Amino acid sequence: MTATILTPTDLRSACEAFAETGGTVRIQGAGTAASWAGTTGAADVVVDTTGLTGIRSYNPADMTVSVGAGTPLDQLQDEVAQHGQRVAFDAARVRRGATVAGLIATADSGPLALGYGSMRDLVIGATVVLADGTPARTGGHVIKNVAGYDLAKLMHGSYGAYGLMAEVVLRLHPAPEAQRTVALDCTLPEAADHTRSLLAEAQEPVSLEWADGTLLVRIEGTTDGTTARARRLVELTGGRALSDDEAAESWQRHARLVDDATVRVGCRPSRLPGVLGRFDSPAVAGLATGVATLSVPAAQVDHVHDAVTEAGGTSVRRSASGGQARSWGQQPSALHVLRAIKRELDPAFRLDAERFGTWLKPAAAASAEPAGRDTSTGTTPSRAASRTASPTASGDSADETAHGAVTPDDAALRPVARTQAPTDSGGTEPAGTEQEDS
Amino acid sequence: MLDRAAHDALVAAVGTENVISDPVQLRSYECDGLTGFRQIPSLVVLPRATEHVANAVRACHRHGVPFVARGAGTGLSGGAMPVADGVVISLQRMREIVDIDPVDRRAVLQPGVTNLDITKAAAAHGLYYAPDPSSQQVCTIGGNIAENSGGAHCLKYGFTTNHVLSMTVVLPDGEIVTLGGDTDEQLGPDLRGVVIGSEGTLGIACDITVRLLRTPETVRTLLADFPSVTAAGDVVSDLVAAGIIPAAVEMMDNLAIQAAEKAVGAGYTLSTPAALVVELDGPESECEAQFAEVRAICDRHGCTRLHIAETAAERARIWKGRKAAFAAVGRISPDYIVQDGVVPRTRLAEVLNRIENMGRDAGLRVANVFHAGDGNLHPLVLFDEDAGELERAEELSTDIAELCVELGGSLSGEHGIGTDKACSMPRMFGEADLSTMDRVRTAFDPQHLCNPGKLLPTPRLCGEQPGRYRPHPLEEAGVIERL
Ligand SMILES: Cc1cc2nc3c(=O)[nH]c(=O)nc-3n(C[C@H](O)[C@H](O)[C@H](O)COP(=O)(O)OP(=O)(O)OC[C@H]3O[C@@H](n4cnc5c(N)ncnc54)[C@H](O)[C@@H]3O)c2cc1C
Ligand SMILES: Cc1cc2nc3c(=O)[nH]c(=O)nc-3n(C[C@H](O)[C@H](O)[C@H](O)COP(=O)(O)OP(=O)(O)OC[C@H]3O[C@@H](n4cnc5c(N)ncnc54)[C@H](O)[C@@H]3O)c2cc1C
Repeated sequence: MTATILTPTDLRSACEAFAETGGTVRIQGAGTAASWAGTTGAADVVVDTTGLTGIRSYNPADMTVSVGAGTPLDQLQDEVAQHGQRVAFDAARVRRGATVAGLIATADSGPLALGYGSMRDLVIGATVVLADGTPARTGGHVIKNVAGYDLAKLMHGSYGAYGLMAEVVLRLHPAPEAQRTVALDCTLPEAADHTRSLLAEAQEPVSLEWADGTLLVRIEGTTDGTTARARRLVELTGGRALSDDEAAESWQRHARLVDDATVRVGCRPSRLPGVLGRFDSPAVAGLATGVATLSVPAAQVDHVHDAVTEAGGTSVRRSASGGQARSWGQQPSALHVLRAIKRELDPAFRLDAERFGTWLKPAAAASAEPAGRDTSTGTTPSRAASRTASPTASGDSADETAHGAVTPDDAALRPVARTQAPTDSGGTEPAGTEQEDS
Repeated sequence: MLDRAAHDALVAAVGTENVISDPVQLRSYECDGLTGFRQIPSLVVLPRATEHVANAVRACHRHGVPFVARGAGTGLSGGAMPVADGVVISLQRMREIVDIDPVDRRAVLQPGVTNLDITKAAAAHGLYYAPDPSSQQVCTIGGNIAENSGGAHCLKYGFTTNHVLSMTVVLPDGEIVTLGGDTDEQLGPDLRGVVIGSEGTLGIACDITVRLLRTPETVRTLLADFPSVTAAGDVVSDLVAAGIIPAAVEMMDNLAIQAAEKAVGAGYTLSTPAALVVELDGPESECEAQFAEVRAICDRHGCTRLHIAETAAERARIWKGRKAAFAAVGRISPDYIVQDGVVPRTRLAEVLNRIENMGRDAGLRVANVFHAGDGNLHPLVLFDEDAGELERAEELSTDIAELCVELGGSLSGEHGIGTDKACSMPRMFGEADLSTMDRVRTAFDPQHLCNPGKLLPTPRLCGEQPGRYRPHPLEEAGVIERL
């Protein structure tokens, strides 16, 4: 099946990519998380975000920056580093060119999450293009702001199913004067014990990770201060303060392990060693955050899901090689709210939601789910009908039935523009190319 | 009035002993901290358990009765003001600290637990709960969640949303769901983050799990006087430029200082045009080095007096002056309005000058107390209602909030939109932005029963045309576009 690829370069062309096309849409970033969670569905239109790049506004003294959502984070880091600042975020795939919005949409995070949180804690505003081409802003350009709903949070972890982030405003932090890493080779249970005594002291590690046989503790601050604290950490753990090169190498190895993982896990820190210990596979564990990744063989992915679910945690597959394994362990408790929001923001179900498997499908079609509410009775049919709905020409007949249940027939259906770029109405014209979509 | 069936259903939901229907008692629920907006509710229910809350909400849902959640009622935007013919669901009887877990560093709380009680309970383990609104002795964690409350220390440590791991929420139809989880890992979009800061319009937060932090090793606090608010503002900019993120940077102008001194005698200089409270915390070695830098920056900007707290008591005294400032303004003016707005911190000096001019034009005094580190202003508009100044004061106060938006900031940094500023929302957000928020609200609450009329402008509240549309300054500068 042929899909139209559109590569918008600004907000206007991003809106047109939706408003002037019909059919199903998949949002595609740099492709660094291509096989995470569920597999993507076929789509009539692919919106490639990698043209939405560059800094829109940056006043270093305000320590906030507004960027095109498709900007690779490592590029942005280079720019703000010139002003002694950084985005305090270091997920493994950043070095492979992941985009700002791709990182947000997958709710990714790295070792710095212990000190600074994830993207959800750093995004202070966004402009989102909804499935019908409506641009909607949320948040703003200041770090403290409680006006209106924080819809950037809705985008965090949305895997492209709720709208396209076109622009994102981020909070910046000063780049630390010095970073130090203390390393100790030990088993996971030993690392967990060390973690407990480390956290009881006020050493304020920004990262605390067990990377398959080595505990890595990172601190940041002044040169003298970090030297003194590193000494204390060495005393406490019996580990070794790494040179800058050694530290860089250890964190590279950490990132490679995360990249190679097949499952990502989150559970109470104290339960993590017990859960991971059941699998004899390479693992990386954030012993203070409770976030871990495992490289189990495909056949074991479901076992990991089961073990984590039993421990009350969450898990998601991170590799396509999982065979028949489930994409997610636990399912969200507020499924029907997720569905209701999807219905409100994307009544025609244009945006691909396959990453979530059956979650967002109306209950009637998702037989795996316990029969609950009858989601096929749309709560605001009049509103849905007044927007431009599109046929779900994805070719996936099961989906079509599912979508059909919530998509009121619309007299004004547009023909699906497959190979044409949207006609211009003022902005930069999105590039239209063709792609063979499986 | 509630019809009989609805009344009976609500009583059945929580039990007779947990219902208030006496007109005199109902009156004490007529407003929150924004006392200008009042509405006596038809009924107040005081559930004792999450299941009670769900029962009550289900009863409201079934009978089409609007309801408003209420914590301590300290909100400053009319968020907890009852709605006509509606019910107030007060969380005041759900005040149990369910668990403090020192190993996984988290606390499980019922919604009516006060902010300060969390830290009190955690202190035995060397832990604390970071967000610290000035109202922390009375305000509840449920209210904090609804308003995404911050405090003096949120510059470094973040707001409520950065510290809540999970919560059960009673949705507007009475279903109980869990949002968030044991870690920051997510199952799909972050609905926890959507509900936090939604001002009680998307559901009622019940069993709440928050993160606890290790108490910092050192805390260093100083109080510095400056010859002008501009000089004090420049200090803030230089701190940022030097890569220092203090735990707190608070500014007070002369009027605010006079009021605070009259009230609590915290040792502020009565004649100084401006003062800064700067606090650093962290590992001792780092803290000391940065503290020296802060002092140098203060000196560079003509600091006229620098007082360093040497003991915990002295530190508490400095904070007492700052925290008493709002209420203290009552000593220098019969009436006042607390405003809350945010500007990019580089525009602090500019906004203060403009506020001063606007005050002069209106013939009213404005005292300024604010969280300078994150550009969050709290201008206090002083007036005398008996002298017929109320309307003018309200107008000035609204103009100040809208000025913040004009300067690229926000209508609110922590007090919320509520009833107070719903009609100003079109100054900050376009029609499509607001309708998108409304769609999300509808997804949660199709019947519009959950704290209706708050947060988003409605024709009833604001007239058919809710405010004039003004382009956002970044829009004018070509940085953003609304289309
Ligand atoms: C040339 C090419 C051809 C391909 N052909 C096929 C094919 O035929 N069939 C197939 O199944 N796959 C195909 N793929 C892979 C498919 O496009 C990716 O699986 C998918 O786009 C996800 O990659 P990525 O975008 O995960 O990366 P990321 O950028 O890391 O994105 C991760 C997630 O974030 C979302 N996201 C990214 N940016 C935004 C944004 N700005 N706003 C909102 N959400 C966002 C994405 O939708 C995705 O869910 C192809 C990829 C390329 C580059
Ligand atoms: C002197 C003073 C100083 C203040 N200082 C600060 C400050 O420094 N920082 C700051 O951020 N705020 C401050 N505030 C404002 C106020 O204290 C906060 O907004 C606080 O979080 C409100 O909590 P509350 O329990 O009083 O909530 P209420 O006023 O009872 O309610 C506030 C809102 O929350 C909703 N709500 C209450 N409980 C729940 C629940 N369980 N679930 C869902 N919704 C709920 C209500 O419906 C309402 O919309 C101050 C107020 C005063 C009076």
